[in-house]
Amino acid sequence: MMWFLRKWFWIALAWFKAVMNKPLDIPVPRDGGARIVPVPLVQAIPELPIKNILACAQQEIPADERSASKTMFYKLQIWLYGAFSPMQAGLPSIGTDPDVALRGAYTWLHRRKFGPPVLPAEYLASPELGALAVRGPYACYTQKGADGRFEWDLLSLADHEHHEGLLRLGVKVKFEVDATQRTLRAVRIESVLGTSTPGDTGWELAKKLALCSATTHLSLVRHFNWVHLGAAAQLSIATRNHLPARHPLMRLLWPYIYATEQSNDTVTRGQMLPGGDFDTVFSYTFEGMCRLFDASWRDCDFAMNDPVADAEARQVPGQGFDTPTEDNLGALFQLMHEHARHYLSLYYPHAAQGTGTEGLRGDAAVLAWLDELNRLIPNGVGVSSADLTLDRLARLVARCIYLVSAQHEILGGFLWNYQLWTHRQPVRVYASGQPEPLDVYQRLVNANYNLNVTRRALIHDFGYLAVDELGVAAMQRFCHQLEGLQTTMEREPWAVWKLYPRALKVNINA
Amino acid sequence: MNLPTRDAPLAQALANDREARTRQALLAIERREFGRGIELLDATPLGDTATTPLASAQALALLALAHFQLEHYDLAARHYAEAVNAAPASTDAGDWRDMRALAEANATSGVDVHVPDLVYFDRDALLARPVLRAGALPDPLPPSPALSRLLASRKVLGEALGVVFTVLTNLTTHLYGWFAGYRDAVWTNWYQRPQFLAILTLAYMRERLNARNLGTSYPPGRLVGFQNAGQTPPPGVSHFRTADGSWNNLADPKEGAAGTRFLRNVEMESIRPEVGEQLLTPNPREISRRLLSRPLGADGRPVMQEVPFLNLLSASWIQFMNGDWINHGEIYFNDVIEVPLPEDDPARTRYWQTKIFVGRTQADPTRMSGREEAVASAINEVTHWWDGSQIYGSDQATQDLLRSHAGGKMRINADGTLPLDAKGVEETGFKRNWWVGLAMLHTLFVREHNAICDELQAANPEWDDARLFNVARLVNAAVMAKIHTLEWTPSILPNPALNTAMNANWFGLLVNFFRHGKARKTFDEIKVRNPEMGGVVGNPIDKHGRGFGLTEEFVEVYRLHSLLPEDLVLRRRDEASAPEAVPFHATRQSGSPRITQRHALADLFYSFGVQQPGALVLNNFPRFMQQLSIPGNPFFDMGTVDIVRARERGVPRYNEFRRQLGLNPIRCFEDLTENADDVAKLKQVYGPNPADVEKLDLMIGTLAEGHRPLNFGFGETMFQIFILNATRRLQSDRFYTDCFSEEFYTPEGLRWIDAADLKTVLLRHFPELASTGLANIRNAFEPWDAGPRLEPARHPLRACDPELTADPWRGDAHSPFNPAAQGR
Repeated sequence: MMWFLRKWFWIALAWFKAVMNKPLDIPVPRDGGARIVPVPLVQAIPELPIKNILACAQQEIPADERSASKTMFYKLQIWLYGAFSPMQAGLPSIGTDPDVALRGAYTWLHRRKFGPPVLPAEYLASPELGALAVRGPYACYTQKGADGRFEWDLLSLADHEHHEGLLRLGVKVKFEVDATQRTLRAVRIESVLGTSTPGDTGWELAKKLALCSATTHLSLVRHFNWVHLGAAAQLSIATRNHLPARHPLMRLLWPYIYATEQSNDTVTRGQMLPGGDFDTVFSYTFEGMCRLFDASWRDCDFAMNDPVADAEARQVPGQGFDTPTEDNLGALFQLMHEHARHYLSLYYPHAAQGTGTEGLRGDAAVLAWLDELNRLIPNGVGVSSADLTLDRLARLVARCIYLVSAQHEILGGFLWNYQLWTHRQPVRVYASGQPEPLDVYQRLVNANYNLNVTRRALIHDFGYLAVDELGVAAMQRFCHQLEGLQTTMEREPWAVWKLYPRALKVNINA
Repeated sequence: MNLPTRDAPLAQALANDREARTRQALLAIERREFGRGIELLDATPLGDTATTPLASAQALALLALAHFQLEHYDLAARHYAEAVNAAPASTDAGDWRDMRALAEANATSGVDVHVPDLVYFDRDALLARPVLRAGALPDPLPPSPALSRLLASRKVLGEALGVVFTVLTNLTTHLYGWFAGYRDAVWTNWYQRPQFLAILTLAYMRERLNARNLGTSYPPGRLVGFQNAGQTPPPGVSHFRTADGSWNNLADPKEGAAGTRFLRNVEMESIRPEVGEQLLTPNPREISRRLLSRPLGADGRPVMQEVPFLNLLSASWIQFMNGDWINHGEIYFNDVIEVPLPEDDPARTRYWQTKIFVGRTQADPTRMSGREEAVASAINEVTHWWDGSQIYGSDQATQDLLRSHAGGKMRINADGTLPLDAKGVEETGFKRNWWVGLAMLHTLFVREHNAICDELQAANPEWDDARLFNVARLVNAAVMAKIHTLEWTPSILPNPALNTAMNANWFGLLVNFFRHGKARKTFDEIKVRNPEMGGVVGNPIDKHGRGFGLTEEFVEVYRLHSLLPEDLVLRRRDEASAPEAVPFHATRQSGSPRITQRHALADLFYSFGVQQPGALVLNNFPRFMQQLSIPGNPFFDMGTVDIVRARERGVPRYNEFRRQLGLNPIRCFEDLTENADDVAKLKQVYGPNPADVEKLDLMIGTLAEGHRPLNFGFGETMFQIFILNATRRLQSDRFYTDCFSEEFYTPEGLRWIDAADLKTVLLRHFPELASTGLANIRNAFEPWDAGPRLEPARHPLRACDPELTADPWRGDAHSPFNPAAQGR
């Protein structure tokens, strides 16, 4: 009875959030905001003992994006974690039938707003990791190792404390290229179980550990740490601090950064505080999770927001296997890059034509913006004021757009069709072999559900933000190009692993 | 260009010594002394190809032919190539080019090798008691726990409803059938009635066939395989299928087992194996040439009439299924039927022979001479049951060889292909008539077996290899049976009433009424104990008073060679390179792994998904099959063989076959079809008089039928056998009826079966196909069209899918309900 009440209370809350959320109206930027000085996360939110990560303190959230109602709502939600927690000890597991589990957790109320997740074809049976290494959200982990073989290296996840009764995360998966089938095939997994190879009795469990590691890293590290905290928050701070309201670059970047600090503040508290989504759903204890965030911050690489360069750095293209996800993301990035270059060339025509970079290099605001980005974002953004060219700036801007739209989507809402199928891809691997308990699964469903809230789309006419008619035309041109790609993609069958332009949001904020 | 014929005197052409030797060689080849012919030609100097190019080319072609006849296909290919090169420019060397291509393909595919090894039935083995290897089957699973009160009351309700529905459906079916009948002057008329009445009529026809057309080949009172009564079932057979199909019936141990007789669907008196002149009248080769051959197009290539609503998987699927159900085993090579080649037959000059040699069907060694009522019988080499024996084998030794003996799994290579045997052909349970289309499906279902093992092991970590294997086999066989029942049959006969009837066979009418698509379960909340309302599967066994076995008539209606194209068109699913046309010949036997080693399996399935098969009509038989080479016989016309086999095995000719199955006979060829050309050709071959229709061969009659139920890929005569067996194969098998439950299959197994269809199975093992046209359609046997709108003529079944009533012609992968369209 108590579980029934808890379950439905939190389902109702999740549904309420989904229903109440409206796409953000993005106002025209104005000058005059206070300069934001990021502080270590532990200072911004004292309950989180995380020193390496820099964040905007709640009181420094810019006035134009501050939302008292959202702050109050999240305060209430966090209070409820203690007063009427969504978790209840001693509940049975969800059982072995994934459809029954989903039907139980994803109720008629949820379905009034969004349809249920689609089962990826890869999960129709115990998944071949090689298929997931080239298609879907985990393709980002595929890289050529020092031994010349392809791998997923997620061993660093083993270093942090996890809940009792769970198997320790952290795996290295080795793949072989199958040139005839033009795909990869997993041939070895190193994990807490030792070294497993196909056919071993522990192979299936090792695969689950690998997918649990991948999805945990994706949600906690890549999504929240690297996108929300590591890159998007700092991009927002640097942009607000250094680009004047009427600067063309500010007008270009504004929809991508607006409301980031407010959103990050509320979501960080909701997910990372003790009893929040992260430590109750995933394997790590609160302390383990905090250490993971602290430790992985320094590994943040802004170049991951450039799928073409990122794939090349991982030595994935042209290796004898198909790379459908890289191709898909590459096509999206290409449009963003083209848009950024086209837009910037309107305002820096000489730099664009190669007749002089004085205008660009003499733009103090841009140089200061760059310097701060390099200071705030771990490992910098790969372009400095010293080597600035229009091409480099355009690529950097494209990476910024990609970060908040495609990257954020593939690590967030895109997981809707992957992360709920815990019979294939558990969020926790219990030593006893049991599936997740009802409360863990329910919370996973509710958390993912709220990632689906309706948000401002990337395909939206932001021409009203432009400083002049040229800017209006450029922004509208980008919309049309995205629509064109959407139309082209729609001529082919829809597939769960494809990221469509129309699915992209303009920023990371709800 | 052909060799000189008898009508063109050789004397003038063979003027010198070399030509005389060539002539001697020609005569030797005519006497089928091919070795002697080669000796003569090898010892003969070719002469000056510049001054006597034609004679030299002819000698080379003759040498090539001699090698071809001796199955030295690589040498034959070389010499045909030399002949083509030596031929003067003015000479038409097209025939030699064709023979060269054929010889090359035969060499590539190793068609001179017996696959499998040449083995004949052994009387003692066939009559022996069924033997079960110790440890082959595990102990039975523990019985299911007692049903909860809720489940028990649902069961009682299902049984009570079953009694009511059984009375009602039996009464309604018989009364309606008696009152309304099912045929007009010649043809049946069920399909002209409203759907409910059409289904009722089909049910009546099926019951009539069950009552009248279930015959046996065994003497009255004898058990199948002449087994003694009262044998004690060995442990395990109560819960698991045996390798050879024995003990499905615990009281008749060899019912349906491999090595037992084909049964019959016609009266004993009508079974008259044809011999002598009757066997060859009309000449089967003449029939093959006149009524089966595909016409040639302007480019000299055969023109195939396609079925718009099927893809090529439907053709390989039915052969895959036939391998599960039926085979007469090896033919004889020293006891042949000689079919004369008509005087104008081009094969006379191409092969330099006057007859086609068709090895006779292997005799039934279990016959008790003079003491049997049946005048003929033949042995089925494989199990009659729908048990997946084509991938598991029909004997214990084969099954043991194919198993990995770890985790219940079958042996498979790390790259997901099947292991090869010593002959370079994929290892599997049944590999006669092997080609790459079969290799693909065998690979798919071996993978499916192994995936089922993973699922079972995850739920039952304590299970050993034997238990995992045997439960997985039950599940896998049911998946195949379900695909055939609910997808293949409706796809080739996409008629709304038939579609409903087939779905009712599995789930029952009530489930289909209340649930749609994947929401349907074999065991819904209430399982109504009635086959029509609650489905055949999971309800009590019913053999209609006769033991189960597939029949000679069943074998005859599965001669569907016209489905095959001449070439396979292999594509990459991303269409990144031009399609490659591969002659069918080159994909046979050891040619199959050569294809799978060059092409991704996902690409092969995609290629089959977008290629269409041939229609089952006259003059659409694959030309490549009319010049097939088989081990020991380099020139084998399958069209001729198809005709000969029915006659040889005593399957009645078309009109008598119809009478036997409760259909009206045709009165003249004009009854058969309105196609005047077809009628003229039929009269030319069979005779102009109305009485000549009695000579019409079964296969020719069925292909010629112009009156077909709406959308039917074949006609009603064959359909009679389908009506009977589509249900009977399920309803007579203990493992689809009494034993189709969690106790035997496990909850995971039943769930797996309920969720399975061919599309799911394909996507499970080739997830990359999710971005092809496969994602766009429901039935994987339909063309894999990728666009947003699907053509009704290519996807007729969608019109009767209750889940698609809003817009049947919008592709599934372009549905407004998919997340892309939602903008999520």
